[in-house]
Amino acid sequence: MIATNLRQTCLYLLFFLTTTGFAAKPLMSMIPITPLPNVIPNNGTTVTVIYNVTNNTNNPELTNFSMTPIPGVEQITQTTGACHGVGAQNSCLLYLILHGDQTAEAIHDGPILNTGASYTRPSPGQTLQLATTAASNIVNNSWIKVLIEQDPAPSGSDLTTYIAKIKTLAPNLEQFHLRVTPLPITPGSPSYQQYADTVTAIRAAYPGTTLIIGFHPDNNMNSASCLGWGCDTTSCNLPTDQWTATQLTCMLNTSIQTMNRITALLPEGQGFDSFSIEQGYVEPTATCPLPAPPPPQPPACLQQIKACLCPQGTHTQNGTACPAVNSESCLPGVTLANPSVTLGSVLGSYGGEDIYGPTKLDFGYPQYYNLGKQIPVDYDALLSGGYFPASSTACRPSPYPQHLYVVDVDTPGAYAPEIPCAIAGEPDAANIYTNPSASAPNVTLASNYLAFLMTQYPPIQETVDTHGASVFITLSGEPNFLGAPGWSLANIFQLNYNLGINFLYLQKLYPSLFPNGIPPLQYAIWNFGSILENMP
Amino acid sequence: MIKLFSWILCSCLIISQASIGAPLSADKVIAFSGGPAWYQAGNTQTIQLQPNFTNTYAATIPQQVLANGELFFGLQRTFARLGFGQLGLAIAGSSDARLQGYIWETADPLFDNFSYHYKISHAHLALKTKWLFNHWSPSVLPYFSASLGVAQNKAHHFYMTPLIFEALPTPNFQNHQETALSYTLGIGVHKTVNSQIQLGVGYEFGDWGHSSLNRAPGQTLNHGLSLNHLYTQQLQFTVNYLFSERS
Repeated sequence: MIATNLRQTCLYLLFFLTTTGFAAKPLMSMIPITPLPNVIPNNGTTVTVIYNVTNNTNNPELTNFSMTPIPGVEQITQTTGACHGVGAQNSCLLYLILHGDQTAEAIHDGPILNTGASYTRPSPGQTLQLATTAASNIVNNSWIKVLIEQDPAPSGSDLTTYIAKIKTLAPNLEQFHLRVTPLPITPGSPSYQQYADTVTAIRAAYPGTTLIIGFHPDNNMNSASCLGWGCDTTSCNLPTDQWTATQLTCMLNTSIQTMNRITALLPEGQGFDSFSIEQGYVEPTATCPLPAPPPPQPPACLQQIKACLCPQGTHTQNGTACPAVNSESCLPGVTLANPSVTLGSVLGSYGGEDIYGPTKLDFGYPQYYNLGKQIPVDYDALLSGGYFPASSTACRPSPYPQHLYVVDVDTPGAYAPEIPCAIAGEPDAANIYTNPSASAPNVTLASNYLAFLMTQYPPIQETVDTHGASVFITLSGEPNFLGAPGWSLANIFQLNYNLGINFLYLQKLYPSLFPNGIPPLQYAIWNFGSILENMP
Repeated sequence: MIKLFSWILCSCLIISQASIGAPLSADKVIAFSGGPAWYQAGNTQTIQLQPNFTNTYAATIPQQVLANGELFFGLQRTFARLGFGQLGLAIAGSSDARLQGYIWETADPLFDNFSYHYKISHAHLALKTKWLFNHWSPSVLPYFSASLGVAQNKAHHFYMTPLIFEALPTPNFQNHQETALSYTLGIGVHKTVNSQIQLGVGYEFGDWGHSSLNRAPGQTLNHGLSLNHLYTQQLQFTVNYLFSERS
């Protein structure tokens, strides 16, 4: 009896030690790295959920698991870092794609991992709790904040259709920039009234919002534009590398006058809010103090242009204050904007902090296309692991003679890079956004490339202090990219959605890609006419 | 099994009658006994369920109680200056014994993610003998008893309960009934009420013998939880009824 009691006591002690305070721990920890939605669209648009799975055991043989099948939940194993199995004390990514059009019922639990003799699911609040809903409730491109015209809007009934499509494309638009061809000389240009009508129509499509209307003049640095704006023939016909402040002053002056004139046709407070320029325009993006001779020197600086558009001490029609002090004055011979307007620029790159600020750019629209970057060796696993889909690397010779480029150029030749050859073989090519075999966009391919490229530039790779200016990552609506057939609104939505997922995924695999975390990002689309044409 | 024991019993009776002869014949006796039995059952086991997966089933062994009951049919003979000897067949049954513990997944106490429970039911048929001594008093008779039997032990109703939200139960070990050797040993005292009825109270120690659960669905190696012995300690109350051939 005493022996029994001792044994009993020992066992109770053991029991007490092992169970009080709960040493219990799941064999696999599953932590979501992407948001867990409660509703997913019931059409073909997919939602991605990624869990970081950690094998908590020390058992070297316990490496494999399978996921209990759930209708509508597809596990992806062909991307870098994705789970095929996970060794003791290691992690992998459980990459799930939710197909709302394949699940008839709501999903209440899971995902459940089965190691053969054990089942594990995520912690409370981190399991899948999904219902499907009409796609229209979720799939809208509210992420498109800015649209910049490349061609003037149509008039009459065509304008009505045009505006309606814009509203469908970008329901949460914040800025709309009208392309204005040189007036009054260029034949076939819309009249001042027609531009005013466009402004009225676009404002009416977004009632109750403070939509910023931009004046986007055709100030191309070529003789046609120069002459179109009514500038001196001799000056305009000079080779552009001999252009001076003369051409700038003339074109800037007449385009500001045109802007003022159109604004005057509109009710008070309903005119233009902003003046936007573009790379290749006559306006430079240099800042004062300008470099000393020898030439070439920019004919002017941003502060001077800003002084013409937003003279110090004034404010725009919607109350935005112009700089209190501007060390520069407007260029001689240039009309001041009336009322004052802010200044934006469609740039070739993000630019440094020196071009942004109250006396410089209020808005930047860097073009994030035609980009090419060499993949650092640290990220080779993105190629071998499948993040860059197989179709994009299949025919690379092995071993690779040079390091591969990640590119999204829409025409071949710009960098002569090693574009994935399945695409490089195409005559018109190298539009990697089009799947050569299906003649339809490969949204996965496009979003994977674009996401990685964006990690190689600001604002992700480094933070740029814009001194209060707003920057919109600008994508192309040309037929090479989002204006190509097959880029339905749902696919355009999917592209932006996938970007967000990819940032989370890349950050998990390579935190160093995001030294300051994932910054907030805003987007614009330039030259969106083809997108509208593709809409029914 | 019952047939075999009937044969043994009949043979014994015939032999005893033949050897003893007419003057000292045996009385028939029927006894009902029962009472609570205390037990502490279970042992910690580590079982490899699949080539790459092993669990430890860490038993908790609290003292618990079940109910026993027994029906005894036999013959009683008087032995001069000693007392009485009973030999017969005992049929006994018990309420379920409950076993429980914790499951350490991968045999690591860090992952004690489940509690488990199961039951064992027990019935046996035994050859039982009981010796009562009237040396000290005609009305208070101490006794000892012993039996050896064939038991049906059924391990059943295994289930596991997750202790954390993240763990989900796996398929259970399945029920299994087996035949085992069981035995009892008892001591106590009878009180004579009249010439036919005696009431007894005593202690009986029992061992149910071996029991085990079957494999769970999906389990590819080994078997379920098993137990070599389940010991009980019973406070036994007896009503002994004698059918005497003498008036």
